This record gives sequence, structure tokens and C-alpha cells, in this order.
Amino acid sequence: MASERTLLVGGLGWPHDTLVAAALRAQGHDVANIGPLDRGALERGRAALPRGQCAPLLFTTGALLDAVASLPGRRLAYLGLQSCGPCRYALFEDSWRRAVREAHPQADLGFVLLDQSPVGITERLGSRPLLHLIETLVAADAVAEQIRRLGPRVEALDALDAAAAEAVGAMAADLAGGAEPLDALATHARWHEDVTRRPLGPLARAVVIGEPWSLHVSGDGQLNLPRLLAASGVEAEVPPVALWIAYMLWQQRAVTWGPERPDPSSVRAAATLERFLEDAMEEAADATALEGFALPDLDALAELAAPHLPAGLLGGYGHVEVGLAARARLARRAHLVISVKSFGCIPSSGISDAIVPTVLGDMPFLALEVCGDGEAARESRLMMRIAAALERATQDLA
Amino acid sequence: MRTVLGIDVGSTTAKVVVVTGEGELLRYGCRRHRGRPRRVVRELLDEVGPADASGITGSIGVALSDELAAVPSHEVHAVALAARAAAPDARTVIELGGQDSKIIALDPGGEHHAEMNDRCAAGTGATIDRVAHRLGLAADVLARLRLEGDLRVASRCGVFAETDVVNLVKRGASREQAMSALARGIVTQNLAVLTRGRSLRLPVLLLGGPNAHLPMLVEAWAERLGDVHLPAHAELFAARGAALHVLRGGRPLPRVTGVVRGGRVDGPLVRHEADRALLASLDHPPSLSSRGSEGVHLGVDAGSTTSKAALLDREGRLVAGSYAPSAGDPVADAIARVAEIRDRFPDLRVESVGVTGYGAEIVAPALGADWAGVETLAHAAATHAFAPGTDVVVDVGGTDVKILRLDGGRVVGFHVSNQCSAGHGAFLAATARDLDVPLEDFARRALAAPRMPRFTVGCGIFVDTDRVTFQRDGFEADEILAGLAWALARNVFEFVLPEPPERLGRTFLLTGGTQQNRAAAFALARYLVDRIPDAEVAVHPHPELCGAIGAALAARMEPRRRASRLDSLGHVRTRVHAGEELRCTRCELACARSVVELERGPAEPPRTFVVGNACERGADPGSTGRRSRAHAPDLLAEEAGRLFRTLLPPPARRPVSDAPVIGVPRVLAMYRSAPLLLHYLRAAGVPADHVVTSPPTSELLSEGGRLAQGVHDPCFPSKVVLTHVQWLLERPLDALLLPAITHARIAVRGTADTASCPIVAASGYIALGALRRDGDPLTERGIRTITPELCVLDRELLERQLHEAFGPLLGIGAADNAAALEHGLRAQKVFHDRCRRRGQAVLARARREGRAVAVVLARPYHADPGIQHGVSTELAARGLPVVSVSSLPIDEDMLDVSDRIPASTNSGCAEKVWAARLVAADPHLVAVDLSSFRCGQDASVMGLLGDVLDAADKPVLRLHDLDEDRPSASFTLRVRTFVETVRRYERERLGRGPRDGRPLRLEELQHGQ
Repeated sequence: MASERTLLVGGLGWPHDTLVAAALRAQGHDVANIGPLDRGALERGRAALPRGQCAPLLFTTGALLDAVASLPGRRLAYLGLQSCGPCRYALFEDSWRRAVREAHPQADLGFVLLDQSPVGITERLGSRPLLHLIETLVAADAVAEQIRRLGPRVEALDALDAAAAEAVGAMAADLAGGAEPLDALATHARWHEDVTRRPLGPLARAVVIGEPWSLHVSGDGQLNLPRLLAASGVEAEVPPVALWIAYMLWQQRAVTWGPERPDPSSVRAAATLERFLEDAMEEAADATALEGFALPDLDALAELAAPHLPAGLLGGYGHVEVGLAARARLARRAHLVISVKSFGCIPSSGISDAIVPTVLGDMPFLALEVCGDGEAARESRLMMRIAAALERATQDLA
Repeated sequence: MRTVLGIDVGSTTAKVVVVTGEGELLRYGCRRHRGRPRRVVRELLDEVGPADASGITGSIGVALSDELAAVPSHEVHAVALAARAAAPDARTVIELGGQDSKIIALDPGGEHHAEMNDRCAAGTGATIDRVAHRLGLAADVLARLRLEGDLRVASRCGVFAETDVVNLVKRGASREQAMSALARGIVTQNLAVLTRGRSLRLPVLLLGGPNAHLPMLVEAWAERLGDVHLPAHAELFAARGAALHVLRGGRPLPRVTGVVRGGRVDGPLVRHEADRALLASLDHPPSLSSRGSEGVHLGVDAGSTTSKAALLDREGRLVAGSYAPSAGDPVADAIARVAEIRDRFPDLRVESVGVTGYGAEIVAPALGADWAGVETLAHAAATHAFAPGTDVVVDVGGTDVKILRLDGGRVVGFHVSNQCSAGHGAFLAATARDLDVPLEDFARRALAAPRMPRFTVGCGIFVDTDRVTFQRDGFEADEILAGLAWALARNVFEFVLPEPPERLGRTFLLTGGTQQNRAAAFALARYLVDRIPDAEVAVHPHPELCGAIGAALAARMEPRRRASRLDSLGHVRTRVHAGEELRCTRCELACARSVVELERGPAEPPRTFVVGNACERGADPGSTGRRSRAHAPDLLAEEAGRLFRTLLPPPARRPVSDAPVIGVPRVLAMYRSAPLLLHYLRAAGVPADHVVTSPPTSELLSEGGRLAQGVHDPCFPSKVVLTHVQWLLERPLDALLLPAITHARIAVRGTADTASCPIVAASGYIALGALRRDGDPLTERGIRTITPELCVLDRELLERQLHEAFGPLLGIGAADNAAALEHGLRAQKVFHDRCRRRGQAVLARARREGRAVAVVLARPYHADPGIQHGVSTELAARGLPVVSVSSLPIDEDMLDVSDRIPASTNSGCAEKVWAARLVAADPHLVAVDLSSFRCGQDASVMGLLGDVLDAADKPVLRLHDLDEDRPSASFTLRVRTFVETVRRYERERLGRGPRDGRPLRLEELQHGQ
């Protein structure tokens, strides 16, 4: 990687972006976060791009423009993914370049964009930095999971947020000082112990599925959904970022796209990384005492999804969403299933609209499209479902 | 006796009820709050008196729960409670509110399941209110209206429904017919959005204000659903439910608001001294010529919401103008404008008359006009006369926005607002009315507001939803108006304009009636100056009259002037007949026409003519009209037919004795691969009459056909698959073929892959998912599904995939399967070769004749006339040859697009970029850039296509966001403007015809002269 440039990172949400930046600093890079991916970023993205773009591109473009404007005269490189799925695979870069060129003609911005092949990523980042990055993301996932589980159980969400922010800051300092990510996690794993719990009433349980970007981006890009659910008394089960990584690895060995056959070296690399990821998840679960913090079996999910959406249709992560829905129905453990999709997401629109509701049958379901605005109607729909879920939870407890 | 208050504060209305401990209604009050919900609720509470407890619901109400000490409940829950209490047998509730709509399924066991509208409030009371206001229908009149006629309007978008209704009236429909069309549209829209394919259970209880107060709407529901009931006080059910929630000890709804937290407030519209200077610079004192009224030229602009006339002296300077809201009849409006001018100038001697605007086709014959033309050209002419160096005209009118890029006064590029663009004057006026602010006070109050809320842009209905949120959050009316003015600017430059404004130029002129609102004009100017520091922005001194001025200027240049016949205007009578029976059937376009009867007094025999027809074929209202001129070639239409025909005789093979009858939907990837698959089946032994293909989408959706419900969110071409499948299920089928074609074999190279869009590949699964929501109709009918994954790039793999899918079904072995595939591949080649040959022939002829040819940059399935809304046929009808991407010549040197989109994986993107570069390189080619609403694939290359085509300075017709609704008025405007720019291009770049700089007349655009 080009260490002479300031690396811009962002788009994975909090605390992932913060910890990834710290991990990169430990490797000698000058790093700045882009963000926040809020409504302002959305509007600046809209103003800079042709119409009809999807929410991830709009939000990231706006945030990237802000970052470039705030770092004049610096040589910059944006570290991110080429896209969030197959529909616009690799075309984000062109849009980012055009938008930055037009708004800041003097800006010196390069791109370090990762495609979804483990071999390519390893070649780009190097083996050790890649493993370090994966562990960092898993550590961030663990903290995010702690926040999600504690949210509906604490007296004040602001206190929980403050404690989490302090812990993540300490973890970031450890990482920047050269600590291993999972060691840093273990050191600060009990960060929440002083946060006051509230008397536990009935909690509704929501399984949240959807395309990865809108599941993991923080803030307006996903209507601040985790906080909304926590504040309403709903415990949310959200797939971790690690599932996205696991999916990218899984597809290398399990999916044949068109005439191409899996490259044996890529399959081997993917299998090695899959094992590494599983180990990291297990270690994180131990460190934080998070019961059930593990990745689902992607082969099993593909099998569950197959009658409704086979994995080989270039629908990207779509069949994983269908598989998670099928799993939720089999387990019947949720009072509500929410499918989050960002505006403009091609695969997710058809899946959450037609396939997932059929898979779920009579289970309460809400397809929630987020694009950063129009919250009044969306909020009302969401509250409608939350109110019903809470009623069911109350009945269950009775 | 214990009593409980129930309060429901929605987006437009506050309702308060008092019920007994048994839930019986004792007292109630209901009133529109007009942006002052707190005050109105207090008034209503005073009127109905106190109670022992209170509950509250509604989009604004829940936020007031603390200050009113009321238990909050969700309105769906409240409505369901009240509905069960009032009508225990009801199985479904349909409630329409001011800005939301909901369908609640009531299970006998006590559970309920609801769906609410999410983004768009198209099918709600807000749309009805606005349309009724536009048509001048007061509430008491609305309450008497009954369903009439069978006209239809675009219903998916509230803004577009409004425009369509107004245009129906302008074309002769009665206001009752137009409102009936809207009522039916609202029913369709709500069923599509809210049921999402699930069956409604009867009986249905109709609730909410619009249902309670509009009998026509209840009739429309009954017409569609049958067993519907409207209970007494249907508008009060949410309030009653809020009280019942308290009575039954319900849990308070969690109070979580303000989900989106980032930047919702901006500073003032006028921020600092530089802004004040900019504002002052926009004020031009209107200047009028005093050259008298002899030898003058009259221009009339028959707009959608207003009617305008302008009188110019011989030098083209404005002598007088007249501007007034349209009363509905464009001819009467125009005559009134002319009469007003004649009253001021009794010795008026008019040398020529020009007419433009939506009503030009009808008004021009009535006035005996010398020139009638497209309003974009009229605005360009007026701009050139006032400020010859202008690069860009920003025309914000009553119902649309037009942005014109000029070069020396000629239109070289244009953008017109579409269905998701609401930045127009009528919207600002309606919102001011909702806020009880006189329109004349709008600018003063908005410009003085100390801050402004930041609105969503893009959709007018959505802006209105924001308005409710901001009122709930305590913003004052002045601040909301300021925010609206800023939202208008952002809407114009971020939504109507698909590219940043700095790409168009540096000198901008603001025209159109909305520029009379100084706040709106300032917001537009501020946006431009913020973004382009050296921009020069001016407002035309008579912005509202620019269309009329331009029409007069065009008439002044007209070489074939006739003597003015304005003296006989007092005798002019017109009768307009509109309706489905006048739909032209002579081509796929099926123009919705109107017949106009015109009388000009005793000295002139009455005449009858047709308006709304795209070509001469439709000029005769009867069925035996002459066909004096053929359309130019439309290779998309040819291709759409050729794809599904037999291209090669099947090899001699004994048909499979018990071959199944296989249904094949004519959709998506079939528009690329149908020859291969259909010929494979024939060669595999399936007799021709055992393969049933659905008809083109245009046929399925015409004659009252409806889009199947169940898939709402993806693009229109994908949604329509379900409609085709349902058509097929009505046939005696044994199997349904829904191939998942993952790739395309294309000539273009240099990209990472040539994959299908994931929605295209998965469309069969999506349709099956929607179909199986309420059971499994396929199994019930004994129809098996065949959903093979097919990769056409790899012969060996494809052979195996086909054999796995069809071998057992047809009982064919590997050798027969291979032979059948070979036959299919040969047919596919024949198809492509024929397409190319036709393309070459059309191009060769165009080159000989010095003509331009329009290349439709689109995906293969846009050959389906129902998906592209007949635009290729409309262009061909206007004399412009149209070719598809498939029929373009293969030039080996240009096939590699690796320098542009090397990492692209989508076949359609690669082909569009390649075709755009061909257009740019060949002087005889111009472009039509088609894209369907929500096509993310196209969005990813939209900027790139713009770069390529703009660099070549080619006329481009951009029709993005194509959806199930065909916005006819906007469509026609864009097509006419495009044809005009192509004709100019032919004159200037291809040397065809004189270069007289005269704007073309409508009939010249229509007949392709």
C-alpha cells in the first residue's frame, strides 16, 4: 500500500471504522476517517452524482468529498471496497473519481480498492496486514454485538454509548500502540459493567437481515436502526460484518459463476482465511462472554435458500439473506423480521419484496428501504411493527 | 359514567372524540389544523369537554402525548381496535389518511397484520386535495360526485396523477370524469402498494377522511372489491381506537422520534451581504414598448396551470402581456387573454399569431395561428431575444421544469422534469395554501425567515410528508416556506438535471411563472452562484410570459403568415370529445386522442379535427382514415417481433408424442435469447403449438389490463414478469419455463464479465416468490416449473444445463439435446445477422438522404413496446428512423471498451457504452438514452454516457425513470423537442434543408418533414 499517502477509511460503521484506522496507524500509515455517513453526506453525494444512484454510493461519495475538502494539499488514498455487491461491481470507483475531480480539481486522490477475491486482497494488503484487519473487524463486531444486546437492557442509552465510546477509544489506543486486536478486545471487554441496567420487562426479539452495507453502516444510512430498536425495547439479531467477509470467502470456493471455474489457489486461500475467521470469532466470543456469537454455516444457508433463490444467480449476498430468513422461520424465535435494504440496491429490492415474505410465511415481517430521508413514513411503519412485536413479547412472557 | 378522550392528529386533520367506558361515541370534533396542530387540538378539546382519561394517536399526535398527558398508541393498532368494535365481521380495513394509507387484515383470532405506504403518499388524501383544488372542486361538490367515464391517469406518482388529470381536462374530459380517473387510480395504487400480492379478505371496512368524504372513492373501491362498507364517522375511527386502547389498558407506544439525526436545519435563505446583493441583482423593472398596437405580433402560451398572452411590436419588444390561472378550457382561456389585450388596445392590428404550451394543438386552430410549436423552443426564442449569450434557460412553470442548453439561441440539449420531480410553482402555491399563507406573502416571509428546515428533494408528495414532520418539530410557517424555496432549487439542479449544472455553462436565465416568486428565483440563483462562483444569473423581466413571447417571435419569423382572424374570436366555439373510444389503433403507440369540433362563426363552415395523435395515421377519428405516409423504420419494433418468430425450419425429428405445453413469458432476457431457446425446444421435439409465449407487455396492459400485484419495489421490467406469468397461468399449461440466464454473449469486449443484471437472472424466482404468497397456484393447476440456470457463454456448460432441465421432461438423449442446441444457436445467429443487415440498410439510406438516425441506447428488453412506452414508434411516426443496439454495425476497431469500463461485469452496460461511442463517432447517428426507473445498472454508466455524447455535441433524448405510467404530456414535449433538435442538427451538420433558424411548427415535427 502507498504509505506516503494519507489513507481515508470509512463506510463500515462504528466502531469498525475507528478500530480499522487505529490498526492501520499501527502499521505506519497516516489515516483519516471519512464520515460521518449522515444526511449531509447523502445530500452532497446526490448533488455530485447523476440521478438514480444507490444509497451506498451517494453516502460514500458525499463523505469522501467532505474528507477531501477537509484535507487540502494532502496526498490521499481511499481504502475501501470496489462496491457492495455484484450489480455495480467495480463501478463505484469511476463515480468517486468523477465527483472528486469535478468538485476538487486540484485534489490528489488515489484509490486502494479491494475486490472480493481473497487472493487479490492478500496481494494488495499483504498476508499479515490482512489477518490483522480481519481480527480488527471481528473485535469491532464483538463490541457492536455487546452494544446491541445491552441496549434494550440499560437505563440510559446515552450512558451505554459513552461507555462504549470510551472503551473503543482505549482499544484504538492499544491497537495504535501495536496490540493485537483480540488482545485489545479482551483487555477492555468488561467496559459495560458500570452502566446501569433497568428492571427487565418483556423484550421483543427482531432478526434483522438485509444487504451488508445498510446493515452495517452507522447513522442515517440505516435510520439509526439499532438505536431505535434498543430504545424501543427490542433486542436485535444483526449479522456481523464478519459474515460479509465469510460470504466473500465462501463464494470463492462454493459458487461457480458462468463459465469460470474456481481457481484452486483462490479456493485454498479462501479456506485458510475461513478457518482463521472462525477462530477469531471464537476467541472474541470467549473474551467477551458473548454466548452464540458465531457465524452461521454458509453452506447450510445456501441449502435453505436454494429452492427460493439459488446461490449461483449472481445475486451476490442475496441468497444469504434468504437463508437467514428461512433459518429465522425454522427457529421461530423472532417477534419480528426486518429486511433492511438501501435505496437502489438491485438484488435486495426483489428479494425483500417477493422472496423473503414468502419464505417467512406468517411471521411478522417488515421490508425497510432506507435512503436517508422520508423518515416520517418509515418511522411510522417501523413503530407499527415494533408495537406489535412488543405486544407479542408481553403475551409470551405471560 | 367514566369517559375517555380519544385524540387523533394526522398530517392534515385533528380529531377528538369522547367515548363512554363501553366505547360508545358521546361527542366529537374534527377540523383541519393547517399547520397549527397544537392550537387546533386545544380548541377541539375545549369544545368536546373533559374526560377521565385520554389516549392519542396519529403521525403528529403521538409527539403531543406528553404535553396532553395522553397514552400514545400506534394508529394501526387504534384503527384495528375501533374497527373490531364497530364491525366484528370485517376482515379487512382500508384506511386512507392525509398522507398515509393502510390496509389492515383482521384475523378472526384477534391478530391483525397491516401494511402502510412507505415512501410515497401518492394514493392518499394529499393527492385528492391537490387535484380537487386544481380543478376548482370545493368540498361540497366533491361530496356529490359519482364515478363517471372510464378514463385513466398515471397513479403511481401523486405529482404525475395531478398533471395527468389536468391534461385530461384540457383535452376535453369533464371534471367529474377526471376525478373518477383519479379515484380509480388511487384504488389501483393502494392495492398495488399495500397488498403486495396478498389476497384481500372480504368484507372490507373503508375508513379515513378521503373515504368518508368522497363517495366517488367508495364507488371505486366497490367497483374493484365488491363487498365494501363505509361506517358512520369513518374519519373518527383512529381517535375512537386511541380511547379504546386506554380503556383496555394497552401498553403506551414507545416514544422514539427523530430517527434520522444528521443536519435537518439550515441557516437563513439569505445568509449575508453577498446574498442580499445577488437578490437585488435579480430585480429587473418590467419594460414595455410604447410603439403602439399596429403591426404587432401576438403570442399565446396555453400552459397547464396558467394561460398567457404577449403582444410584441415589429422589433420584437413587449407591448403588453396578460397572465391568469387557467380555468380548464384552454380555448376559452386563450380567448380571454386576447380579449383582455384587445380591451387595452382597441385599434389592435395583429400581423401574426403564435401559440405554444400544452394546449397549443387545440388553441392554434381556434385562433387561426400562423405558428404553433413546442414551448421549449418558444422559451429559447424569448431567451435569445433578451439575452443572446445565454448558455442555459431554467424554466420553472406550473407543473414542470425545463432546463435548456442553448448555443446561439438554438436548443442543443434539454432536460424536462419527470414523475419524481416536484419543483414547480403549483406545488409551492399549494403548500402556501396549506399553511394559510397568501401566495403574495410567500417570498417576503421566506426571505426573512431566520432558519429553514432541510427538505427531502425529488418527490413533491414526499416533501409534503417532510412538511408535516417539521410542523410537528416546531418549525414556523415562514421557515418552512424558506426551506421549500431552497428545496425547489435543489430539486431543479439535483433531480431534474441529471448532471451538475456547471457542465452546461456559465450564463443562466431564469424563466417561467414561478420566477415571479422572488424567494424561488433567489434560491435558484443562490444555488448556482454557490456552486459556480463565476456564474451569471438573471431573471427574465417577464418570466411568466416567456413562452408567449417566444411564440410571438416564432410567428413573426413565419414565412407563411395569414391575415389575422382575431376579429371573429367572439364566434369561436369548441367542443372537445375525449375518451377511450378515440384511442388510435393503427399502431402500437395507441395514441389517446381527442376530437375537437370548432366553429368560427357564420362566415366559416365548422370543422372537426383530432388532437393527441403522434402521426398522420391518427388524424382521422374514424376507422377508415387514409394512410398517406408510412412511419420511418423502427428497428426495435421489428426486433421485438422477429425474436419470437420461427427463423429456421426445425430439423426433421419426430415430435415428442406427449410433449408438454410449455409457457414462456415474453420478458427480460428472452428479448436477447428467445431465438436460441424457442428453436431449441422446437428441435427437441416440442411442437410449435405446445410453446405458448405471453404477448408483448403493451398488449397485456392495454384495454384495461393491470399490472399484477405482488412485486412492488424492483424496476418495472422486472415487476411486469408476474403479469406475464399470470397471463400464462390462465392457459392450459403443463410447464412454465422461467430460465435464469446468467450471462449474455455480446460482441463488445474489454470488460471483466458480461453477466446479466442479478434481477434479470433471478426474475423467475422473484415472480414465483410473489405468486406463492397465498398458496401455490402452480401446484394447484398441476403446472411444473422449469427454472434452469443457463450460461450462454459456454457451449459445453449450456448443453449440460439444457439437458438437465429438458432431458427428462422431453425424453431426449444427449445427442438429440446437442443437436437441438446447435439448431438454437444457429437461429440466434440468424436473428443477429438480420438485425445487423436491417441496421446497415437504414443507415445507408440515411447517409444517402442526409438524414439522422436515432440509436436507442437501451437494454434488449426495451424492444418491448410496453416497457419503452412506444417511444421508438413515436419517433418513427415523426419521421425519424430508429435503430437498436443489436442492429448497429460491428466495427472491430471500436468493440473494445476497456479504456472506459474495464471492471464492469454487466453486459448491458458494456453495450450501451459501446453504442454511445458509435453515436459520437458517426455524424448520422443521434441518441435516445432509455432507462427504467430503479435501474441501478444504467445509473452506474449514466454519467459516462453523458460525457461521451456531450463531447460529440449530439442531440440526445433522455428518458430515464421509465415506469408503468406513461407520462404522456411530458413524453410528448420531450419527443417533440428532440425531433426539433434533430432537424436542426440535420440542417446544420448534415446539410439537409435551409438554415433559416426558424423554430419548427408542430405539424413539421409531427410529420417528419
